[in-house]
Amino acid sequence: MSGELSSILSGALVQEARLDVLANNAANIHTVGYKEDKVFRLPDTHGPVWEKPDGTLLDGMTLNTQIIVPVGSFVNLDAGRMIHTHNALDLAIDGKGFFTVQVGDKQLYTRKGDFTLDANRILVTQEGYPVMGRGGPITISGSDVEIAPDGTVIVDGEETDRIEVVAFPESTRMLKAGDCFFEPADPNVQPAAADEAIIMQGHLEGSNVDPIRVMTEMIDALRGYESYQKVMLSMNDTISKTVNDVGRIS
Amino acid sequence: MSSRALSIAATGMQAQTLNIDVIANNLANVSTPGFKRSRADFQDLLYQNLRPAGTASAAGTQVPTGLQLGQGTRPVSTQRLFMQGDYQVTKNELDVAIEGDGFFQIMQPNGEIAYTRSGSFKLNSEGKVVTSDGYSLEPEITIPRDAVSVTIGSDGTVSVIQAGQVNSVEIGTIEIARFANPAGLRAIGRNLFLQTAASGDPVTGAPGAEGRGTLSQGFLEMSNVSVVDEMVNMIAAQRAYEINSKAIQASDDMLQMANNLKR
Repeated sequence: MSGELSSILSGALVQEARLDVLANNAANIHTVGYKEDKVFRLPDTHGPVWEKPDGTLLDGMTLNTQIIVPVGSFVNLDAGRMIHTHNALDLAIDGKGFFTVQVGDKQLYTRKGDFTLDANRILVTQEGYPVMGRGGPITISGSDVEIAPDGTVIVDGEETDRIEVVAFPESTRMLKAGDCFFEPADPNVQPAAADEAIIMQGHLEGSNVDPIRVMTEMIDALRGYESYQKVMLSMNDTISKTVNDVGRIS
Repeated sequence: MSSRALSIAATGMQAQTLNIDVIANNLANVSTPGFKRSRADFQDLLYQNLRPAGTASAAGTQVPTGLQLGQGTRPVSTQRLFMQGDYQVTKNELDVAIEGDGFFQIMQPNGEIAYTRSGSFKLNSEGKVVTSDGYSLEPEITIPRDAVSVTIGSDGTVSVIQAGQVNSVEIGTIEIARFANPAGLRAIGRNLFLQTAASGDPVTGAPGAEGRGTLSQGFLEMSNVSVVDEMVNMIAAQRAYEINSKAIQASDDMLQMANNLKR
């Protein structure tokens, strides 16, 4: 494939990937604790593939053999809208930070605070994974639960535990693990306790997807794709001319 | 392939359909005494890591960041919101509202206790205090046939004045139950809720003690559905449905353009 055509193709594929990500944002417009993904284009990478027998690159010979979609995504961790629910076990974090949830043998992080209790009166997420406090899973066995802004769990007037809210260093890239869970891309990054975060009982944090921006970006992706298609078509014409007309005699 | 966006947006449309269903049920119960509104709760699906961060691209360079592609959304639960409903004065002797936390205990015909916020009680042929469906209040309270007036105190004591008498006689106490996590209760229709593992065990006793609310005779707690809120939610759900359908359209247009490349 000619170099120009392949770079235009990768441009079109970027727009496709953008639409896929935008569709996912649109689908999660009402998902509590959802954070939108954003897509950006990476510089094109050209893989040199022709090598001399000794493994060094042949000068001036580069060719794309595989189309890499030069695209990356990141999570926009901006706060979502606060929804007032009055439910005692609905918690929202005001400020930076995540709730810590034990999923199997690893800890995942979430901003989705619509917790409930399981059969053993342990505070769990809607899927039944225990929410971690400073001292492990939090058991709530009384009839009156109050969660203070600093995360202290007060059951029937007695402090029992403190909900663990942690934050990652600013530069940490967070990956999504589904079910509104996040994990750091680099498993060696250790979170620190987020003491400035305020926990709001009876609130939930809504999705931070902005419908207007989704809509406009969708138009942008579609029209961008169309432009690439037009360029491909006109290049096809040019190549067609070269192949069929150049060199024709009479 | 951009057909991925098609299926992703389809999950979004399904989710919003469910959202509308829940809103419709809330609106249908806008004047049901003791009704508590629900909210549909969604979650994002698994993510496809198209180019995991840190993997090597050609020529030994590293991809600084990967592409994570979500697969859409799914409904996880409907969450009931136990906000206080409005009170309505009915002046009916057997209409009781709970001011604050707590539920009336109702004995179902199968012997299981259910819980309700709806306090529009009636008398059955035996003089027992029952719900509109005829299920009796627990503990049972029977009003003597010759009673001319019934008084229910804020602490739940029920007293009656019998014909020809001057002084009222206490005949029983309405006890109410309180849960650590009412949102965990399971609705079974007829304004009734059942205890679940998530709700915790009921703490029962006289109203006004241990954080339980107090009773008001002659009042009914109405539905906590606010028509304005539901309308706003409905508009939001409808527009969210629309935006997902636009994503399907955009994806369809892209596929069409791709097909038109070959002439």
